[in-house]
Amino acid sequence: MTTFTSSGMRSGAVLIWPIAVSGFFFAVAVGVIGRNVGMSWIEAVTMSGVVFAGASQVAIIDLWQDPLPLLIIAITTLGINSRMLLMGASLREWFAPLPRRLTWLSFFFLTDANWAVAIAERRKGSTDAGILLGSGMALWFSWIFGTGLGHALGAALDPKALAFDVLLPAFFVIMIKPIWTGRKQILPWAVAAAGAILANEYVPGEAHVVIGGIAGSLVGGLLRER
Amino acid sequence: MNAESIAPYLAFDWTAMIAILLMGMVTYFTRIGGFLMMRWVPEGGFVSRWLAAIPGAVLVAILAPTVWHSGWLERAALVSVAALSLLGANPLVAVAVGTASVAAGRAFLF
Repeated sequence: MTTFTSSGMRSGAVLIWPIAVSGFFFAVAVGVIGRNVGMSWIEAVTMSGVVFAGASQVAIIDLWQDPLPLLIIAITTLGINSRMLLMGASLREWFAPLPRRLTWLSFFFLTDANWAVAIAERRKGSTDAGILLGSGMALWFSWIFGTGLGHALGAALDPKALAFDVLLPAFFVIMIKPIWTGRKQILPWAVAAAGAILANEYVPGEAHVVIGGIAGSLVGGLLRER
Repeated sequence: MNAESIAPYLAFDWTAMIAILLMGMVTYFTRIGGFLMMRWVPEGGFVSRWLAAIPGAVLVAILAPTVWHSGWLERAALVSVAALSLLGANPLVAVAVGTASVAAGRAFLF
């Protein structure tokens, strides 16, 4: 059973509210590090509005240099955001009865946090698919405003003294915990780390992300469930 | 604010905009791709296990060379961020503590 109402959208926005506040502060930091690598204000804000996926934005900001490695940027974005393929698949049965346009619109705003909120409501018995769109839009607005504010504030700060260069790896470190599912990941992650370090030493450019990512994930795919 | 003070905010580079649109298209594909294609991917098969393993491997591949090349102060800070996060601290607090401790270290130790 599937419905889609504006009251569902409102309840999605209400449910996501605490996460949107913390997302706002993350976006402030993304704006600061974006400025730090030389992105202009409109570039940083456009990225947040168009991409709206924090982990991939932080990863690409890490690769932001002149000239921009477009192919590496596309593949890295695909790799990090490929987790959303699985989220989209899990929403299939819920959204399939809706008009396609509503699905295409709702899925633009699909991200880890509102997927988790929407799926939790679904498991509690809700039929209203508007929860995903309402919660996603709330996150999207706070994400854009935070990025714009962070970039503007960054002008007044000294990046080296405030250790902004540590912000970026620190972000990746905190992303590890939600992705860690158990000891089965030790081998794939070790392969990814070794592959990336070796590629970083011996392969020119920024290919280490792609090489380590492919090597590690293939090992992960080959390991059977025990 | 007058026009001159706003201008730098709105300045942009076309290659940067192309990179951003490319990211946007790839990301939108990952959002709708699962809805469109996953009925053909058998659950628990190689492809689904591979897909599930990609984000972690990519994150590790980004992080590993950075850690490899950073100084002991930065490494210690990143280890404490990881420890705080694993102990259940708010992620933003963990990042703030790690960054602030490097800033303090740079101010007082060097």
